[in-house]
Order: sequence, then C-alpha cells, then structure tokens
Amino acid sequence: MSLATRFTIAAVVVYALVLPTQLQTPIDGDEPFYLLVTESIVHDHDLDLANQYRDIAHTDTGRPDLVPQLGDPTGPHGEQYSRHEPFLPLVMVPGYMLFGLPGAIATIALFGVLLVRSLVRWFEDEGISDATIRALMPLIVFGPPILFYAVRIWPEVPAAFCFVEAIRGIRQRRAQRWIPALFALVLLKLRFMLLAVMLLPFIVRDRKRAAIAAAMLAIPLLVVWLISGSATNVHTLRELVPVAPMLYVKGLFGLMLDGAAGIAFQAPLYLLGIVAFAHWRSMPEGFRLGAIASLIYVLTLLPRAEWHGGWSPPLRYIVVLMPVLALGAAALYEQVRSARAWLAPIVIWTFGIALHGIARPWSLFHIANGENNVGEYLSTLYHSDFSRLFPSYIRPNFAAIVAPLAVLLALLTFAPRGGEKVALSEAKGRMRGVPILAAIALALFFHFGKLPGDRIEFEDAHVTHNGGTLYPYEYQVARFLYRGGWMMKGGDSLSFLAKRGSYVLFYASTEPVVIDISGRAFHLDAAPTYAVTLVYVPVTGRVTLRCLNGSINLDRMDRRE
Amino acid sequence: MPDKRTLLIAIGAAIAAAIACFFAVAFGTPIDRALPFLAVVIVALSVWRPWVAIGVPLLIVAENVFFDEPTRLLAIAIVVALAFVSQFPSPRSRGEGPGARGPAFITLLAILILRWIPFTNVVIWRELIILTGAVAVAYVMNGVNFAVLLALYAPAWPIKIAIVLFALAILAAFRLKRIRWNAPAFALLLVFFPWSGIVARGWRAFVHPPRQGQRLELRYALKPGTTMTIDVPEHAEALIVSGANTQKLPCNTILGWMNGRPVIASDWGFMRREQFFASRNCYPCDPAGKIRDYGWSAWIDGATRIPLPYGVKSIRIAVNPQLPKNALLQIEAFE
Repeated sequence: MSLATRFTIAAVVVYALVLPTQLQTPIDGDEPFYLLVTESIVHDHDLDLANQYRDIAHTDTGRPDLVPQLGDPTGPHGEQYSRHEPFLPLVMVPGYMLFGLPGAIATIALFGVLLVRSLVRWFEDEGISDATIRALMPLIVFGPPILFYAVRIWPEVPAAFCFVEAIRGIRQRRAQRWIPALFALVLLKLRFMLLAVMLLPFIVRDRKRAAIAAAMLAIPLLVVWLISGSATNVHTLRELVPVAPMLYVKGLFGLMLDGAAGIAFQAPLYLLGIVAFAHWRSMPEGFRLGAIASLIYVLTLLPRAEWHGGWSPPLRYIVVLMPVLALGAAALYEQVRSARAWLAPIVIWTFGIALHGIARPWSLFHIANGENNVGEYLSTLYHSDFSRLFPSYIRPNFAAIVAPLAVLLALLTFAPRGGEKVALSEAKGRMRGVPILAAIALALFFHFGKLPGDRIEFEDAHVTHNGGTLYPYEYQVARFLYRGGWMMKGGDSLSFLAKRGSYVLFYASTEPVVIDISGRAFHLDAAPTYAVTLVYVPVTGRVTLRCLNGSINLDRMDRRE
Repeated sequence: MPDKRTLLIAIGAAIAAAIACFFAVAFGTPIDRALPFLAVVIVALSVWRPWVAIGVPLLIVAENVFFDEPTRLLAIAIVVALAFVSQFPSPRSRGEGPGARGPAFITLLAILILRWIPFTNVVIWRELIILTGAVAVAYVMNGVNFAVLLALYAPAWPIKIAIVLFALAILAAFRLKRIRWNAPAFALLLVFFPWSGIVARGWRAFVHPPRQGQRLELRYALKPGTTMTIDVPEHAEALIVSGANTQKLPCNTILGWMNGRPVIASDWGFMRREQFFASRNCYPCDPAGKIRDYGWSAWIDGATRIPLPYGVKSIRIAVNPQLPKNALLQIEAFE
C-alpha cells in the first residue's frame, strides 16, 4: 500500500472521529452563513436568505441569534444575500441533502482527505523521502490549523487542496490538473485570486492558455457582480494599495509570533517552513513556486486589521499557504540534521494544541483582546498577569518587541545554517541543549509570571472582577477594532497585582467619577473620549480598585516609575 | 559508555536542569521538592536519546499548571515514566537500544525514584541493601523489569527478608534471562511512583479507592470489654472505625459490636512500611482512610466504614473482651 493511501485512510479515520467533537457547540464565525446559503440553494433554489433569516430558529445552523452580517448585499426587492461566495455552499449541497449539517461538514472533511493525499503525492514529487513524510505528515494534517479547518465550514481547506493541485499541475505541466484546481480556487473566495494572478506567468504560454486564464479570473468576478452588484463584493481595490509600513511589520510578526494567532504558538512546525526561506536555493521548486504565488496575497493580508483571522480558529487567512510552508519544513528537516532538534518540542506542542481544540472546540474562537488561551488559563490560576509574557501584536506589548529578538537569537544559535550538514554527534549535542534552554526559559517564565507587571489591562483574566461588564461585549462584530476595557459603576470593584508607584490611567466616562485605589480616592473628570489621569498605588501586591460613584470604562493602567 | 564530551555536556545539562527545576517548584510536597532530582534523572536518561531531555521542560509545565495535587503528581510521574520507557529497546532492534547498554544503570535510577523519595524518610543502610540487590539482579538478567519489581515489593523491615529475597533472585536470575524488556509493565510500575508505597503494600486501593465524606469527629479509643452508647447525629449514614495495636490479628477478626452487629476493622497504621510485613490485617472492605505521605513511605490508614442502620437514633458499641490487652477500638467519626 502506498504512503499516500495509508495517510488517506488515516485521515478518513481521524477526521471522522474529530468531526463530532466539533459539533459540541453550534457552528460559529462565517460557518452558519455558508450553511444558510446551502440551505437556501437546497430548499428555495436561490441565494436570497431573507426567508432564512425570518425563520432562523428552524434552520440547521442551530443559531437563533443569527442576523445578516454588516455590509451584506441586498437586492431591490428586499432580497438579502450573503457576502460569501456561493461556490462552497454549492459544493456542500449533496452532503447537506444527505445528512444535514454533519453532511455539510463531512464535505469539507472530504476535501481535507483529498488534501492529505495530494500533499503526500506533492511531497513525493518534490523529492521528499518517505521517512521524512512519515515523520512530519501527521503533524501537518492532524495538527493545527489544517485539522481544525478540515472539520469546520470554511473555504480554507478546499482552497489549500486546490492550491496544491494547481501547483502540482503547473509543475507537471498538466493543464487538466491546474485548470480545474485554479478555477475552483478562485471561485471559493475572491481573495484567492491574488494567488492565481501570481501563478499566471507560469501558465500563460500561448493565446489559448491566456484565454483560459482570463476566463478563470473573469467568471468569479461576474458571479460576484451578479449577486452583489459589485465585482469585488464587499471589498474595494483600495485594499490592494500599500499603506503605513508599521502595519506590515505588525502583521508580519503577528502572523509569525503572536501568542493567540501566530505560527510559533498555534502551529510551530511551520516555523521550520519560515526558516526554509533562508535556504531558498536548496529548497524544492514547488516550495519556491508556492512562495512566489503567495507574495501579493501575504502583502495584502499583512496591513489588514484582521490579519489574525477575526472570529475564527487561528491562522485562518494563511491555512491556504500552509502546504507550501509544510513542504519547506520537510525539505529543511531532510537537508539539515540539526533542524530535527526542534521536532520533539514541536510534536508535544502541536498535539497539545490539537487535543485542546478537540476537547474544547469553543476555545478555538478568541475575542482577539491580546490574550491567548494559555495566558488566560495561567492568569486565572495564579491571579497574576501571565498574558503579558506572550507576544501580542493584536494589542502590542513589551513581549512583542522581545520575541523577535529572542527568536533571532535562537535562530542564530541553533537554527541550521546555509548548506550545513552537521555530524550526528554535533546534532545530538544541540538537541540536548534545546530542551534544557526551554526548561530554563520556562522556569523564568513562571517566576516572572507570578510577579506584577507594569501594565494592567482591566478586562484581562488575571483581574478579579467584582461587578461590571466587558467592553465591548464578547460577540461585538470586529471587536478587535475597539479599545477593550471594563465598565464599572458605583459599588463595583476590581482586584489585581500591581507594583508600588505612579500610574497613568486610561479611561472614558460620560460623567465625573470617584474611584478608590487601596484607600486613596481619585476624582476623575468626565471624558467622553479616552482620557488619561495620574493615580498612585501605595504598596506592591494585591490592589483593589473601587468605583465609588458614577460609571467609568477603564481601559488600562501604565506604570510610570 | 558515552564519550567524554557527551558526558561533560550531560553533566552541564543536568546542573542547569536541576537549577531550573529548583526555581520552578511551586508546591511543598516531597515529590514537588524532588523536581530537581527528577530533572537530573531525565538528563541522565537522555545521554543515549537526547530528545528525552524534553521531559525536563515538561516537568516544569506539569508542576506549574496543575493545582490539583493528585493530577499534578500523576502528570510528573507520567513524564518520568515515559522518559524511562524511551530507553527500552524497540521490538525491531532485537534487544539493541540505549537501555540495553545499561540495565543496571536504569534499574539504579528507577529504584532511586521509587524508593528514595522523600529522602528524609530513607533509612540508608536498609535501602542500600535493596538497591545493591536489585542492581545485581538487573546486571545478571540484563533486564530491568524483574529487578525493579522485586525492589518495589521488597520490605525494608525486616531487612533479613529482603536479603534472602535478593539472594534467591540473583541465583534465579541466571535462569530467568529470557524475560524480555517490557515497556508497558515497566511504565505501570513507575507511573505511580509518587505513591509507590501504596502500589507495594495496598494495591487494592487502585481498584477500590478509599473515600471520605463529610465527617463529624468523635475520636474515642475503647479498651477491650468496654461498652459505650453514642447519639447519632441527623443525616449520619456511617460510622468510621479502626483498630489500634491490632495489626497482628488475622483478617476479619471481630473487634466489637455495634447494636449487636459485628464490627470488623483493620489496624489504623498496618500499611506503614515498618509494620506491614509483620501485619496480618487486610485492606478494608469499605475503606475510609486517607492517603498519607509520599513515595515508598506512602500508606493509607486502616479506617473502615460501617453503615448505620436506617433511622437509628443511638448506637451501642461493645468492644470484644477477647482482644489483646493493649488493643483498642477507635471510633473515629460519623459520616
């Protein structure tokens, strides 16, 4: 039995087992909207969701709270359309007709299985050995993010399959492979057109192919135009125009290192794929082609406020690129022995995240407030701010500055260098160093995590809230665009660890407010927009902040000395 | 044997790991405090398989993320057990593997973990005898399972028994060389090392664990022949009793009667390592004791639960007059 067949069978079994675990809670994010479109196609033979929203309690989404998304297209006669492209809902129709919601998800899982087979074949085509495929493929296809997107209704896994098939087709010069793959990719989501556009120079060799390529790009635009009245749907071409450079830096490091949404914490295997860029010349051609194809897509993603994926499982927007990074990781693993030093921690972390996501599927969705699941868990346990030790580019913190430097240092010390073929004994020596350094780092992590920090974000998990409410509320659309905070009124109090000293308090209030910090009263003026004031914490340790009268939105408190 | 350079790196790594673990200790049990020692053991095991050293950061994580004591200690034990099991030769290797090069060394480390934590409870000369015997068995057999099994169950009191046991085992070992390395069995021996004393002396606790409900303490100790009447509080469902100085009495000896029904209980401390071998008591049918101490010193007190008759307002306890003079029936609590 070939390796591809073995992994295909394993994928069928694993995805079939994981799928029911993800149905413990109702589908979330964009999923119910895709399903509504499928329902509409099946029952009404149209894309108008107005009747679905009117009778939302009787749909299969299990989400009676569902309302149209902000900016969804509407028709002249009250038609209500979804902003999402209809190809994925169309693909889910047979599955939905057979088994309802589980059938629709099973359709995506089927694409996951196809992706597994396609990936193994692609790796073999690119000269990756069987031993390396055996070692890494379980981490790739049964680890985050592919595992989580293979058992949920998102276009990412079908798109990843189409992207791999398109690259394979181009590499093999098989038009019958790349034409349908690329066409399906673009139909799935308009944003994937940015991938297709970059592949065009590799496929347009004559007029016939140019015509095919033009049709591939035009048809999806036409479909979207017919539905929404705009060829770019809810997007504008201005989104492609370069903006402030700092946003690119934030997005780039965020995708790599953010505690809640970065590769390092959510799918660490792919860090090897990033290191592979340093070995560009020795990387397989498929990797280089995939990387070039991803360029515009990544460049347009980086400055977006939603680079982290929004209300979805982590790494949403780059799932489609994961096969390329996986190939880079595999090539690096094969070429440079010392890269294997990282495998043991990667295996533990990857399957830890996978098991956590299987057991607690709702935790895959995060409110993007700058914390992450691990930080919140530890902060709740110790009532101390552990989240500040994780780099956050959603709510930039000091760790976000330290993390790139630490990673750079780690890479310079341990990462495989160009053309290096170290001896096995030397590789083993390095392997011994990695866990011990990790142990020292962890000991320091837990030590400093238990100490008070210099910034207190009042909505965070380490703060004990006695009354008050989260601002904005948890399910606010595009919550990450807001400055999070904690709303308090007279009689409410907060308790947190803090160092002695002066702090700058960031707050908003529509009326004058009196607060009390460890027995000292502070009179704050009304501040309809955010304002700052100086407050003082008299002793290091647990501090109680009380709102004596009025109501206030407390954002954060930064130490000055 | 590893080369000199590898050995030096391993020593440096062991020191660093021990220091990191020392500062990572978050709780006060002897197992938590032994974290630096466990780290050194894992580094020692990583000499042949360097990835095993990943156990050191895992120890720190287990120590700091689980507040519930049994969960935390079990997590630590699982990490240690996996580090040991990784030394076993794989079935395909035909007996070759890192562990195959040093069964005596692995046995030594395993016994230190099973019997020498907490170190303050160790009677060194007794434990050294057992350690030497086990290492000798492992050396002769070129395997670890039998040696560690013997060491786990060998009594340190009386030590003569252990000496005889190991002398016989060493002789038998020459003929038992065919016993293969068995990773699951070895993992099972090690995975409960925070309570290895209970594995050795009260394994039934894993099948029929003791439980405690809300209790109203009484704390009476009645001599043979005495009687006593006690009012039963509302909602009480059981009486918790145990014996004192009764460890030499055979199983199912009647210590007294409650409203005419026989009261059968074990000695409160019969599972202590010093008393167990000489005791003739049995693990209680309805155990109500608590797990006490850690490692090979761990034991469960012999408290037994006697159900109260339904709706009874008072009970009359009569202690068996035929018990030894120094024996006592302890009425511990209502539950």
